[in-house]
Amino acid sequence: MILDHEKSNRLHDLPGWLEIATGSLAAPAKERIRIEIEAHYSESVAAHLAEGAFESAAQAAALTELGSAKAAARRFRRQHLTEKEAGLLRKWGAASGFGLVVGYLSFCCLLYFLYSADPEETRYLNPATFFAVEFLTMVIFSTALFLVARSKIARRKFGLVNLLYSVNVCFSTLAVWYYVSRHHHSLVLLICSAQLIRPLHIWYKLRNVKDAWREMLPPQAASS
Amino acid sequence: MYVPRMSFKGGLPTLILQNLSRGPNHGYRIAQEIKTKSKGVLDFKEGTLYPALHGLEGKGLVASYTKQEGGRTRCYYKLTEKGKKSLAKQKEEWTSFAGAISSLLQEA
Repeated sequence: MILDHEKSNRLHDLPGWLEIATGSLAAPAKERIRIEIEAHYSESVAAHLAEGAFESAAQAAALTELGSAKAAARRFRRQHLTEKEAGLLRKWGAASGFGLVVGYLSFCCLLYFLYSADPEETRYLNPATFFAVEFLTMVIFSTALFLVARSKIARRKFGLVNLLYSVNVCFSTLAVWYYVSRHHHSLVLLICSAQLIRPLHIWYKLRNVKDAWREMLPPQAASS
Repeated sequence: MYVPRMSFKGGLPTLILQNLSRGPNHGYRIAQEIKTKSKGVLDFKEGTLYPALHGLEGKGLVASYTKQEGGRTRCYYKLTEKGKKSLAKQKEEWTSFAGAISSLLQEA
């Protein structure tokens, strides 16, 4: 009950509004919005005071003019990375070479097991070709994307990374579609589709986020 | 006198671009100028202005920079070349749309 009361009080002041509007966002985005909204709010309060309002009434009016914090939060989430999304991008960026090799080998073994179950498919692909093709698409292509994403040119021109990421997503979608259309494994379709949801979501998000590199930084690095 | 207040979902980015075509500006002043110039008819919650500005920035139509003013950091926005072209296109579309509606209403 006390907590409920405290929560409802928080909704009637600027820090409470900001907490709702930016709560789930990555730290750099949160900080940028806080600076802008605080400046806006204080100017609005000053204008109401100049019109002759009492301080509490001026603050309440300024907060009302900002509108619903939840609606603002929904809109901000479309333009900025959430902490969860930034964390995911950081995790992908920090994936070690060892993890990549283990992931590649286990995924290839699983795929090869599925391919070898189909005698028609094994006629065209011997194990060496199969592993070479998979190595090219899964390791070489992904590493090239990562290196371009880390380069200085890409940092200045994020559109390039976005384009490469889009190509990667399209490639994965086509690969899943091709595999499922030939093999009719509904379980594989389900697993692969679930795996695609996250990259597709991040890809869509990166199209709208202007300063994704900064928002991806860990909170400590962003504030320094 | 009764002044009808209209929400204009989707039209806010165009009005922001038009405001910035007169020179760099910050969020609070953009909001006030839109409200004043529309004589209070166009109503919007000021909290929605910033996501719209950030969206325009994401599309490269506006650029932002910070400035110190009275001991406070202010974020200013200015129109880019891409933004100028987009505004011209949107104005043209709006003029033809509004013209079509007016001629239909006058006919009735």
